[in-house]
Amino acid sequence: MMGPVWAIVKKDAKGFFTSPMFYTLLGLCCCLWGVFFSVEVYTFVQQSYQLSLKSAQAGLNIHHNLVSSYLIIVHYVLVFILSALSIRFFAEEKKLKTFPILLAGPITSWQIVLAKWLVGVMILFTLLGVSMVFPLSLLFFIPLPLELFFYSYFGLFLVLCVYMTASMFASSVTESLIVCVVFSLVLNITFLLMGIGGELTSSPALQDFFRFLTFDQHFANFRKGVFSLSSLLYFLSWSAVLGLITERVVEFHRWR
Amino acid sequence: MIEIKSLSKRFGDQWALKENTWAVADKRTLGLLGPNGAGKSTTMKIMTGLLCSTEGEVLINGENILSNPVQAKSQIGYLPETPPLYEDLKVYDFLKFVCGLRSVPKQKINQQVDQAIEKMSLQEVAFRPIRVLSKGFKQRVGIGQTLIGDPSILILDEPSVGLDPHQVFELRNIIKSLKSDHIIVLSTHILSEVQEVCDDVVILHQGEVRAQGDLKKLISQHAKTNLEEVFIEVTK
Repeated sequence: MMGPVWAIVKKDAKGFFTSPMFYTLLGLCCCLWGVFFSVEVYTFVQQSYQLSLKSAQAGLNIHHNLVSSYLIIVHYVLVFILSALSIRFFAEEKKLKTFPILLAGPITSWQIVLAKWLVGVMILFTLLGVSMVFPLSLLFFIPLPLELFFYSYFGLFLVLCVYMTASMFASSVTESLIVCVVFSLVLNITFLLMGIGGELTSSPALQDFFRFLTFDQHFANFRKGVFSLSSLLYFLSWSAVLGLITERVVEFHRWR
Repeated sequence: MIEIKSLSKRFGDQWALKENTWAVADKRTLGLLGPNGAGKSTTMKIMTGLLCSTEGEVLINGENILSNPVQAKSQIGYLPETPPLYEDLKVYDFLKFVCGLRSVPKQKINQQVDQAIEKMSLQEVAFRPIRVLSKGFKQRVGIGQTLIGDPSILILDEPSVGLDPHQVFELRNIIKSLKSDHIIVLSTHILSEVQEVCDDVVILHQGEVRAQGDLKKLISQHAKTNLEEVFIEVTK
């Protein structure tokens, strides 16, 4: 059952990792993360110094005051990068007329979507792995709470899985590369700003509802090191629902 | 055996296929003919599970393409009008990828790829990226991928379109060489090609089957000397 899935994963992953576009976007990520991380470190050092002048004991927590802020930046940058990479899932395949080889092959729509999703996960791992280099470089100078660090990254991975699955869905509905990127961006920014509805209403119940919908609210639990089953299920549910819709769209190609 | 039973397909208000019924027996080569828009490509897409029919059914060696798609599709090699080739891959890697897609056991992958390369005479370009190949070689790679997994049925949608006369001649010889081991369904506008290669024909016009059967019998039934005259008569 997994044979065809791995065949697609292998071929697509090779395509991703040998494409100039991927390395261009990775380079852009590194530049942005590098600049923002340097600013965060500078701010952290300044604040720590000022605090140490006031009190000999109290200091800033490196995870909450530096790494956590950096993770939010990584999160925002990847929302845009994943939208740009979305074209490689299905849109490009349809544009280049190679999609029939998958649809006419002895494999199910589920296997096709699972394969594309696994490639997306590989890309995410790579991007997150590169983003880790900056905070982990602090280990040369100062100890980091590594358990909390990796737990926060696990949370970031879950959030980004939702964006990546949304991008995959956007890619499945069109063969136009531009429409794909724009639709993916619209979807991902909608997810990013989903909680904004709470600010527009005075009803406490609605405010609570929108607060629950806010991705950052759930991601914050992971950054703080709090285990929240509802946050975990929330992200997994979004990924599952978007994956399910993508599978239906792929299957719909047969029912036109 | 391929059985097409009361097959109909509607796109919006337009019927692309109406109540088509025909069959191809084992080791026969069938030419699916018709003017542009007659429904040839639609029929082939339904036969390969790329499209769903509105009514009727397609049985591939007894397996319904809609209810048992994986089993049915594993018996089909399909070449669409535009060969679905990953142009960045080398020919050898592409065929290996198709082996994976069609769940060919690991120990047989190299053998299957080598066989496809040999049958399609692709040895000299086996390790070149597909994007640098000529149209004729790309078409051969396209047919080569249909052979992976040893399907008993080959469905070729206008395989000779865009090829020069030499390439058409070579392709015709390739199809002839595949006849003994496969059921072949071939759509083309080149009637001389059909006359040379096919045993049976189905002529479609405006989504309906206008003529079908053994090629030679069909010509004699219509009291004509060649397929072209039959084609003109039934598609008036």
